[in-house]
Amino acid sequence: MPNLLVTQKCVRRCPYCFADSYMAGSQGDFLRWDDFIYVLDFYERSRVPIVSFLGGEPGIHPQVAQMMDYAMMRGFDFRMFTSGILPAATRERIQEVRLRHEKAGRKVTFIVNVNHPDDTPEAQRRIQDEFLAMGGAQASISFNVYRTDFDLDFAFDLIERHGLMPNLRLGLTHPIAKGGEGNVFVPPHDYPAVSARLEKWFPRFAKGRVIPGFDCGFPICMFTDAQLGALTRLQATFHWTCGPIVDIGPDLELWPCFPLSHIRGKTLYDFDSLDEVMKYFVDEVKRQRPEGRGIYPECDGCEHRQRGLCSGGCAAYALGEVGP
Amino acid sequence: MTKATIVRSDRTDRLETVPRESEVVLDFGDGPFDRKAVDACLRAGFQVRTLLAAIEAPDSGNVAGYAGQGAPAVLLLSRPATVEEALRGAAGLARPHLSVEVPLRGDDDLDVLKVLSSLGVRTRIAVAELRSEGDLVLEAMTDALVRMGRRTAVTPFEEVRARRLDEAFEIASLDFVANDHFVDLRGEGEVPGPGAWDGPDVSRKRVPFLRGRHPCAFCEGLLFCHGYLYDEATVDRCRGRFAEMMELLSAQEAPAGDEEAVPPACRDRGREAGPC
Repeated sequence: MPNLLVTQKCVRRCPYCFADSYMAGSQGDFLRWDDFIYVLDFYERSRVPIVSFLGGEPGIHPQVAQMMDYAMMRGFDFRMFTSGILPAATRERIQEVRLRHEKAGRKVTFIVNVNHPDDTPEAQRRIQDEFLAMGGAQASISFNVYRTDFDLDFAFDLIERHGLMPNLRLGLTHPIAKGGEGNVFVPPHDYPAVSARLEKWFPRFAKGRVIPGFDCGFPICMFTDAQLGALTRLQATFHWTCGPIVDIGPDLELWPCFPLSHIRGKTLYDFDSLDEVMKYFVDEVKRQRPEGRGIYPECDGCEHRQRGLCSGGCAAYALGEVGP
Repeated sequence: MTKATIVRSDRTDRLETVPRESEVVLDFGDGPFDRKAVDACLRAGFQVRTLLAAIEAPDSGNVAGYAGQGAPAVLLLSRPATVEEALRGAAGLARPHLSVEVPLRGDDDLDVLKVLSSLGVRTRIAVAELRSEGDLVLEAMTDALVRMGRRTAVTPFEEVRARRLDEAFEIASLDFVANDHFVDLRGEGEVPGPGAWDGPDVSRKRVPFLRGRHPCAFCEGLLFCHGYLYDEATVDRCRGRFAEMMELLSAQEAPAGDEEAVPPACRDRGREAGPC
């Protein structure tokens, strides 16, 4: 499902942010109403059932609650990727809209991206906490791994304390292909260290019945068979293959995902349906990605890759001439 | 054709000398709905065609009264509304007998119009907007006719779409200030004699424009406009709007893939033939 950036502004400066390059080069600050109406028309035609707000921080948009309200009045479910660091008034309006529409059977979810408390100023932590308390069972946690000595205890604590959805979405930070100031990311040769580190929390996943959800860009081979077996028992979800997510900017410019945000130049107005957009980006990534290239030299002859089970990590490496 | 009569809801006494076959348009001004005014018309043997009222905003407290009765009502926004007000008011306004007239003063009004229309509210713009400057009316027209997404009918575009080939249809009949269709008794002057309710023959209205080389003779809207919007200073504008309207409608009705039929309004947005 596509993500709609309602603003490119953010309240945080995460060192790993792979939206940074896009944010620096984009024109429009906030999604305008006429464009938002067009997006929902487009979704309706394409039978997209859910509107996903992304940023920057979507909560910065001065009319985020009204846009959320409008989307659900038109029959869409709603999801927001957020830091949760919003002014209290915005949070309360979002909550009011959410409760009203939940009564009418709409689904509202918040995916709250958290950094380790040591990397989060106290004031932001407090506000984020208040948001998570508000989100409760409709909120889940997302954590981006950008160094190998990461710590997840705090995430489990948050899930327990606020009664959040028992899911923990894990993302690997990737480089921005052909652009950007250079974000911090975990290089592929460190991936086994990431999986080894993650193993430390398998018991906590099991104990809390928290389901790990792996974002795209994790190659199968970074896990041992034993780790894969344990993750399977934890009901983990994986996205081993790379495909366009489709992000829509506040000015309706499109790109396949943030790491591939250099593939731009088209807007939503250039297409009649989401299927057309997806096909365009699949073809474009294929055209630009050197045949057979993955994040490791071994990807070339990899059976999993040949069978289409794994894309060989994030395409940003292959497209961006960023070495492992 | 007997013209309809527009009368203030607090002056139904002025209907005394009005021909009984004239339908009544009751204007409540900026006041709330009052059943007594409708009953007075019905008791006097008139049929109530429409109620008119000015509301401050789509979420105005007066809306409920007009929504709760059964006669068609046109609610005119008396000041620029915000999208937020439109969202708050949409559920109350989404009734088949209610229609909200949105004056197009700026981009925000256009957003309000689209938001209401996409949430099931019947909307309208004043017929005279068709000769206004700027692109707002063109955008409103494109949105209403091309219908990229779900939209409720927008007057007068919907009527033109549905009835443009109907000889009896006149766009002026949608405009409460058109004296070919309405006798306006809202002022305090004398009630005119019964002859004032005799409307001109539709089939003869076009004739003066077809003589000589009048600009309206070459207008694609002549069949239903009959020169109603004609003004020497703005004739190019309304003529242009009607041409665009017909282009949009033909593109809508053209078989898929007919590139020639794609109107500039769609091409400008980078769209191909298809839903347009």
